Amino acid sequence: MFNIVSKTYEGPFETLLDMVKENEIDSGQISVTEIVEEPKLGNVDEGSEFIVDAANLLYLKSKALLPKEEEKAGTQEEVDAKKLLEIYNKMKELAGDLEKKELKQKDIFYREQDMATVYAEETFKEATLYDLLVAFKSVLTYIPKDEVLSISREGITVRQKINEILDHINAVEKFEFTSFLKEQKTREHIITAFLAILEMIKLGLIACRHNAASNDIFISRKENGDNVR
Amino acid sequence: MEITFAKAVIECLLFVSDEPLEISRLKLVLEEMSEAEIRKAVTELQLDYETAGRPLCITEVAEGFSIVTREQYAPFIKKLFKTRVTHRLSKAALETLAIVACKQPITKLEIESLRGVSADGVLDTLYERELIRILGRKEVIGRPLLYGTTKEFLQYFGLKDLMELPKLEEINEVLGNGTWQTKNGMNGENAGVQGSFEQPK
Repeated sequence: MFNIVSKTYEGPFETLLDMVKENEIDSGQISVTEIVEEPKLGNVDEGSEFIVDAANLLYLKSKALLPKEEEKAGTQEEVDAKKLLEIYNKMKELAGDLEKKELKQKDIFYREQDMATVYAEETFKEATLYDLLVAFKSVLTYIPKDEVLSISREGITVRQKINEILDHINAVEKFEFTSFLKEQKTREHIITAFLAILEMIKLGLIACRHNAASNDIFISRKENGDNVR
Repeated sequence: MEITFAKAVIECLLFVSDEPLEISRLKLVLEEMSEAEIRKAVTELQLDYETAGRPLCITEVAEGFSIVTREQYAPFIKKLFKTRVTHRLSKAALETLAIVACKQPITKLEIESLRGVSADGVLDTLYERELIRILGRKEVIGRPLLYGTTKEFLQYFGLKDLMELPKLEEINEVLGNGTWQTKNGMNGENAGVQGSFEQPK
């Protein structure tokens, strides 16, 4: 505990702090520099106490300096929170409705088309990036562990890979995405191959189709992309 | 084309199709008929099924029409397909789906700010079950994916279209008046790249 002496106040620091907190003294009237410039500190304990109190005082002062809109913002937040809660409750109700509908639908049967598998080859749809990513991810987890031991020195560029894939596709016409990636020797090759395929799709060299029935993604050559290299 | 014949054709088409057929798709087959005529034929066909007391009926679902079985025969069908277990959606999945249905296109963060919990796993499940799809990317920092519901969603819940959801309008009302501002400020227009900060008046 130590006393401070300034123009507006004389007494223990802590009492001053309390008074500021209780709004008995306007913090604007206290000069921080006056207090800080003449600390009569005896020991470490007093010093640390002084720092804590001074920091608190600074906090109170800076708070007083901020515009009063702060409080309004608080109520605005409350309104927002209320609104959010309202929306959330509505969503919950809707979820309940959906659940009832779901239950009812469980008793209504649609025709199931087994022919879909017969015509599997034809029921292609354009593969989305998401489809590719999912397949890519599954391949990455598939990589054998011992691959870690081999460090390949020769890097492979995406460009090289594109040429490799072009040669491959010219030979086989179309190939399955996942198994192609799995054939790659190393992780680096897999990633490069994946990037190469993405690049080739972007360049319009290949078409990428997703068979919904078997979940295979087929890469095939695009007719007009023949002489682009 | 004579209406009875047209009805027969439509019945065949609905029978062989494993997904709801829209009027526009029926029109591709029944070229000489107008969409209004096709709709009329479908409605008549619906009525025929109804009056004849068939175990099947023609239902309007997912913006199209489908031949489905009536509810009361479900126990027998379930007995036949004992091995086909379809898992019902979890509460979390239903809630997330409700949010996506109302606020689509919506990002994951926006869903999470409403529900207050992570939506990662739920969105994956919904995507796998083809109840939601990716509509594109939002042009804000990070270009997050935007999600929306699918036709399968409508079919799964036996809905004609999104407007059939009863609470949808009420929710949109709440959302509509004033800005739907979350703490993150991730609401559509306000989620600009600059992160515009609106000072409340």
